Amino acid sequence: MKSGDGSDAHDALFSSLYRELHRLARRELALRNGQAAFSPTTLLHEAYLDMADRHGIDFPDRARFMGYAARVMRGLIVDEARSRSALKRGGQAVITSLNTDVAEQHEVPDEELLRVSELLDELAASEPPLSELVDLKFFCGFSVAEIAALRGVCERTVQRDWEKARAYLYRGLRPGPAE
Amino acid sequence: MTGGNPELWRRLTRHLDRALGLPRADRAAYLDGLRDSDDEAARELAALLAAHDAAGDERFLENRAPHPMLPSIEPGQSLGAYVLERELGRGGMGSVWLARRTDGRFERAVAVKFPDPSLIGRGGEERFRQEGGILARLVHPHIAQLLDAGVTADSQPFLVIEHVDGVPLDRYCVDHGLPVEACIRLFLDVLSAVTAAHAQLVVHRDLKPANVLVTRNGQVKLLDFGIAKLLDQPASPAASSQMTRVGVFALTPEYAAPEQVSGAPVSTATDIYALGVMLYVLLSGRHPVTIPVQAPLDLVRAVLDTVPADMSAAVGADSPALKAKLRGDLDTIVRKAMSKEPADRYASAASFADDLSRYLRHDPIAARPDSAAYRIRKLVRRNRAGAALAGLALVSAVTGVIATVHQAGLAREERDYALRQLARAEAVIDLDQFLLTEAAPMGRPLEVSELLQRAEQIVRRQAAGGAVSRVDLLLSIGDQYDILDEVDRARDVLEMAYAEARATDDPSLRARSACALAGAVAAGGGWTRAKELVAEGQAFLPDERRHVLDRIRCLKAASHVARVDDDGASAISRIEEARALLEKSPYRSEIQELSILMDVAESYRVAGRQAEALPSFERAAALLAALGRDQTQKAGTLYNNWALSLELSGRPRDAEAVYRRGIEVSRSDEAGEAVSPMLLLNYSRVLWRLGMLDKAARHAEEAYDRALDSGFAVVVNQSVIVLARIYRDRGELARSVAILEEGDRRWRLWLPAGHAAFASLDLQHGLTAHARGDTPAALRLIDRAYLIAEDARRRGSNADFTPVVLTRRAEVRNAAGRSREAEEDARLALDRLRAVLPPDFLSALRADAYLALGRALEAEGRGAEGNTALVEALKHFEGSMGLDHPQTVALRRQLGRPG
Repeated sequence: MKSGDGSDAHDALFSSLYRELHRLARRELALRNGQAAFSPTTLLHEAYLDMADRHGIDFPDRARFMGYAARVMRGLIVDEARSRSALKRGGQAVITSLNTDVAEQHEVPDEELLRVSELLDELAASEPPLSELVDLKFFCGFSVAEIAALRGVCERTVQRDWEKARAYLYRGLRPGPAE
Repeated sequence: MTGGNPELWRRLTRHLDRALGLPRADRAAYLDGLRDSDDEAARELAALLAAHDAAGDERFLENRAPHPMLPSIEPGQSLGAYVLERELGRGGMGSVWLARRTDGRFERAVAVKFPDPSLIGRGGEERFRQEGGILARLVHPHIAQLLDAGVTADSQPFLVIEHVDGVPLDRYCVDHGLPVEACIRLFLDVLSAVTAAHAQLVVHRDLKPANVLVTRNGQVKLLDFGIAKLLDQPASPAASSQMTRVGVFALTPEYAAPEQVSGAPVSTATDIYALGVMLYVLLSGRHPVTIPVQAPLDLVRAVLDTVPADMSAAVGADSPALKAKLRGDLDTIVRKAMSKEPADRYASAASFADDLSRYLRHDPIAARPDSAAYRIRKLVRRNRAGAALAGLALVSAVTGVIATVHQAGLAREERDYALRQLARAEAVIDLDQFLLTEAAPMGRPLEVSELLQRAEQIVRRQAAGGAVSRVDLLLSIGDQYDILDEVDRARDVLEMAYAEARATDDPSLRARSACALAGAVAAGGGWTRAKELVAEGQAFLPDERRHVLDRIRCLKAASHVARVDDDGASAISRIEEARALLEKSPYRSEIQELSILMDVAESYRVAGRQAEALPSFERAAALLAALGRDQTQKAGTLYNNWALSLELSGRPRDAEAVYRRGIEVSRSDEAGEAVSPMLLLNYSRVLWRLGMLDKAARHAEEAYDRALDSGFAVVVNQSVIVLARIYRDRGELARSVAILEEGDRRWRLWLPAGHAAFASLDLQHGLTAHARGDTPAALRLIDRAYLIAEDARRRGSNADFTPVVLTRRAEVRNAAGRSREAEEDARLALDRLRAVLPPDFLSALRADAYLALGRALEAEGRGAEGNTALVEALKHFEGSMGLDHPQTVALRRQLGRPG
């Protein structure tokens, strides 16, 4: 899993963040015995506080942290999708009718998720804020309002950027007849 | 393309910004302008704009990505008494594992499903467990048993299901080359499973051959019953926009019923539709609906509008033998099951099975293709004749009785007597069906004399001949009218029966006619005479086993009379006596049980013992469903009364669901009768309780208007109270006061002063005053309310209103800082509730009282005791209002509980 930036320091930070999120996720799930389900936004907020606390890590701003964490979240989700996809193709010996088709249950099929992630990595090379926006909104479930507050911009700007990023992704997923 | 070409994107991004900021009409011009300077960019921009629009239309990525399942599942892991062996498969819903028991007691293999935790949702784990518990009670030889449903320490939900090793039903039929009859017989097993599940109010929602496996020994097992609902999966696409996504559906399109596709409510009828499709596929090898995957919008059209070809037509020229077999009855059966209108389908899996069984026995089926007789039947139904079905109900009664008579090993004389009774009954049944389905001329209801004439003719022609008397016929006709709610006619006919019976020697006839008339008279308000008739009826019955049915009938009549008389205690003792008699007698049948159950439930309800009425209501509803009678007016009444009991015991959430069902059933009545204003009002009251104020207001206002139109005074007056509360809670205090004053005027015309009902009015006035901030006035009014309610209680009124008044007064006293007095009130309220509710019964009434108590104790500085009370309150809120109700959530937060 790549981070957006090539430097060592960032890689180290990134993988520690990944582990951190895993740990937090487990703890959160254990705590919420019988109550709420795992919510990435809560998790990310907690992760931020936790990281700042424990590692004394100095993030220039919360927005950047969230961007990173959201990227990590995407990584987790995509990893999952990848293994699901492999299982389906790899052919388990006996899959009884207890198996249900992925496409029936979620909006976005696993194969598409993988492709979306690739496209986002490419987009991140030219316009990182857009890629980050998709991480926050689609992969982590932040609302337009929350993202606007986080970035200190107006909602209209966020909405516009979202539409751009989405157009980019859609184009990448569904090439037109010209291609 | 921009993908993989960062440089191109960098060139484009600002252009894209600008283009999106322009009105659509101007985009073309902008593109033209760009083409002159940068052709490649212009082409790409055009593509991107198209992508932007398409993405918007499809709501691309508008939902969230699937949740990562972080807790990992490994082979060898243990889960309670099971050990996970290997993964069987993984789907979007989660993964499925094979597991075995570790304790060596029982080597049965199970399948464990681990649904994605995000599917359970916030606060859903408790519901998952509870509903899982309900599904686990679904035990049937043809249903893959849900053994356990729970949540691990890591908050990972799981379902333990009996592992079934088999092939889907359609493949089984083909692989084994089964003839039509054999395949139908397997299908009957499926229907029996569905019947059992529907009786428990569980709808499958996703029936298809893949969910019906047949094992090596030919045993049928249904999978995933109720799982869709358990996981809160939408049974239909959340929005029709989802339908436009290529190839992605949230349900199995070929089996989706029209209501699933259009987003209407799903019910047992939805399962019937899917079963119809399944049968179609099984028998013909073809699909009734072909879904063009490329154009999903056509799915909607296909399912909603296109009427599929008959099975026999679809089979085509290559199998003329099969075609001949399928044509006619089987076509008709499948067509009925697959009707677009849920109300046109088989009312239940049981009736579906009945017709198939009749086909197998070469008997005429009940479903009729379009014909004169069918049209008449429809007409008769429009005249509110549920009578044909009443005939059906009696048939079941008869067969039930025959079976038990043989088993019970009665003495010969008793057996003969029983058979004579049956002969009578059977003769009458055939008659009813004939009279009401075929004989009725278009549109005009038959006069009693005409009915009687026809009846006598038929009887003379039949072999059973002398066994049927005129009195029997009249009694039967009277019953029919009663079922049709033609109360006056029923009474007229029963008077005739009574008069003629008096001229005979037959004690059974005299008893029955007296009791039957008693019921009709009581319904019209003639209580004195009704009681006399009951006494007379009972006097004519010698205490012998063979008159048990008549005795039961008289006891039921006596109970009914007592209920109408508001004598709860007598009503209960009579009907319990009837129930005991029925249980011991050889004449038990589901119909008898059903009618007794409904009386039992009503008696307890009238006596104010709500919680004790509930089990009977529940069982009655289940029986109604199993008998295929759950779409009728009688069912609507049952649901209304049941919901009322639930509400009065403080279970508003459960009540809401049952009321809603009652409204659905009433609305689906073919006669197009409007839903009863009483039902609408009851529903609105419970909606208010649950905080759904706007919906409540709509229903209450509709109830009020309808009741005014039809002169239904009781509802008009009651709706005053409900509307007052709703307006108050919405902050429309002036409106609230206005309607209370109107209520006051009406009530004074209608009720004597000091009537218990005024307590309710005073209470509402008081609470409105409190909302306005006028505490002294509030307390004055509530004190007055309490006096009235207390007085009524002492005089032995059935419904004790004091706990409610006391609790509200406690709340107001708390707000006024009078904690000591509030504590007293709350404790007294809880005491009173203890007298009417079972000890562990979770009730919103208790919740409120504990809450008031807790607040009072805290204000007095007794924090620890206060906390205990609040914890109790939370328990009751959760159980009665639900985990997501604002009150529950707020209290939970206050107590520092997570969530």
